[in-house]
Amino acid sequence: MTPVLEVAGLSFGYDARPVLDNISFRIDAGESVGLLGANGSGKSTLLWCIAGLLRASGTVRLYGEPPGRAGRTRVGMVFQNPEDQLFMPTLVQDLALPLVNAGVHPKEARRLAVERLRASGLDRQLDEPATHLSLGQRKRAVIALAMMREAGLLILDEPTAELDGRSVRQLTAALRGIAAAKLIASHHLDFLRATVSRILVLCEAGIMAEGQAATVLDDAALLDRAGLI
Amino acid sequence: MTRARLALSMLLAAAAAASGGWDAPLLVLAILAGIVVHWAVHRGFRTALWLAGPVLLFSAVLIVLQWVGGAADIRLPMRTVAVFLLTTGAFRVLPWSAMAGGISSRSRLYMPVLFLLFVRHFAEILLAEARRALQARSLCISRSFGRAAFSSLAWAIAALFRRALQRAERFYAAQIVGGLAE
Repeated sequence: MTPVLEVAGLSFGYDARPVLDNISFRIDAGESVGLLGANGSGKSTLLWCIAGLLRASGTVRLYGEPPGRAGRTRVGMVFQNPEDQLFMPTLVQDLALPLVNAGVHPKEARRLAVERLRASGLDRQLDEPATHLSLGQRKRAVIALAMMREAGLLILDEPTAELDGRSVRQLTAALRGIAAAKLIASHHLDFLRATVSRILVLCEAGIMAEGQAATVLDDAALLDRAGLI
Repeated sequence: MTRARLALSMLLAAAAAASGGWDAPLLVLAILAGIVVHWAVHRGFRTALWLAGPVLLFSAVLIVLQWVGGAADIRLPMRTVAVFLLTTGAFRVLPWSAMAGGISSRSRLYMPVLFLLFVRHFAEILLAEARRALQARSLCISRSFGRAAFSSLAWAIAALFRRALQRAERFYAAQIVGGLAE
């Protein structure tokens, strides 16, 4: 079976400083993988390379294809700051936009967007601008947006950043309800324990360890070496 | 309120007069800008007019530089102010929500409306970043004209440009991933 994502020998650096060095891993359909690393370990850079936003050496394959325009249509990405993705006058228009842009009639796009927002528990905020929502609501809205094109892989960059405990729980529940494969970059240990089955530990430009979520998260010495505790 | 309206109208009229008096497009722009100012003040958008502060400052600096260069020409600063006021008025008046919600991707208006929404969003981001940078500076500076006041202002503005660029880069990347910016 073709993996959803396959990364082989990926390296990237700024000037002479390597940020990522010979990274290799794969994600199968429906699998949830955590990318664990301290601040500045290269998690976001790796996600940007996978999405084709940065050019790295090595190979990235999304459904067996390079991450060009065709590959990206099957990937949903959630940036750390929801303001980067929500800019339309109302939330429902934000979600309808990718469909309208793909040629779907505006009325049908709105119907699908309303459906998705209701499923995300945001039915009371449909016609409000994103700026009127709490940060937790905006994060859930961005996840709903990323899933609008029925993505098979959802990439999330620090989804719990600046969220309170209740919002983290709501976000966890929202992610558990999504069947697509997920790659979640975070250093929030409890959140990863609740959302992913496998973890890659990123440290000093490479993958320091890889294993089942519970095994990695219970290894205090490993987490200490990676600068996470 | 009357004083603010009067002062701005006088500023526009004086600038138009100083420009030579017979530049018809400039006079039309000045009159339209005056109407926008009058309407905005009447509708209680005085706060929105404060946004004109940086533009007025820019225009004033431009005039001073022209004067120093020995060729003061008030038309360019005047046009800057007038265009700013007109576009601000247009942004306030246009029914963005209805426009954005009903346009198909095949419509000729689709790209211009999307572009204006991008501009509006980024202007809001820039404004929020500027507010944060100046607030952070004001917390560190005890005297407005102290020794570090001007250097800190310069660093705050430099940081604002850096942050604005980073935000622009992330916003653009988000639109690429969303299939809008290719």
